[in-house]
Amino acid sequence: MTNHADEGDPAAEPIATTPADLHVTASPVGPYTTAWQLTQAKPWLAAVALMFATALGLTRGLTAPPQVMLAIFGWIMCAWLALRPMERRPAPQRLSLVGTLPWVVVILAFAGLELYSFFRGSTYGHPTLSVITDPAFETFGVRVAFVVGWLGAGWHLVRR
Amino acid sequence: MNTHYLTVAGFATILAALVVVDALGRRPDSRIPTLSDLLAYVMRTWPGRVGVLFFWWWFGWHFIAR
Repeated sequence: MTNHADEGDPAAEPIATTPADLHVTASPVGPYTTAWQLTQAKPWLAAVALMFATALGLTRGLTAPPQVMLAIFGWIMCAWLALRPMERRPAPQRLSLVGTLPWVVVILAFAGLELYSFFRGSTYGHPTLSVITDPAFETFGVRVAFVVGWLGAGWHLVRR
Repeated sequence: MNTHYLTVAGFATILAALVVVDALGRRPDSRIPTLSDLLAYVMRTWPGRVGVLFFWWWFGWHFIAR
């Protein structure tokens, strides 16, 4: 459906968009699924993720509980990914240089503004993204929603 | 408008641009890759994969453990 490579380029390959296009390998969670499909197929996993998000939502700041929980989660995820290969959607083999340009602009703009604010001291007058979002993260619901979204994004990443 | 609101407006504009560029990438026959395809392209190599997944983990840690 979508071809992100330059037109007329013999090396260009379309990006797989149907199940038939996907690489089929041994996977502990069956065929390629989105985070939402995974929660429907394995409700217990959604429950564990929600409990994890709730527990993290109850923690505050640079204290031991969130540090330990996130460190343990990170190591468990690394071990799981290393020992259990995941079925992944194939990545595009080439990207259009012109098509990638908007992303380069967005990424450079973000990095530039963040670094400028950081080197200006990350103060009220020149806040970094973290300083701007700090008040929102004081709220339990925002913290839980962030962790749920973060876990979903992570699931999407490991399937790519 | 002081520098605080200018900076907030800057981040909001960048966030909006991210959403717009990703939406443009989802149009049929678009030459712009979606963010997912861009990251998948970077993650084709082992160092790229480790780098992206580490950034994802750090991103969560940075905001939760503040």
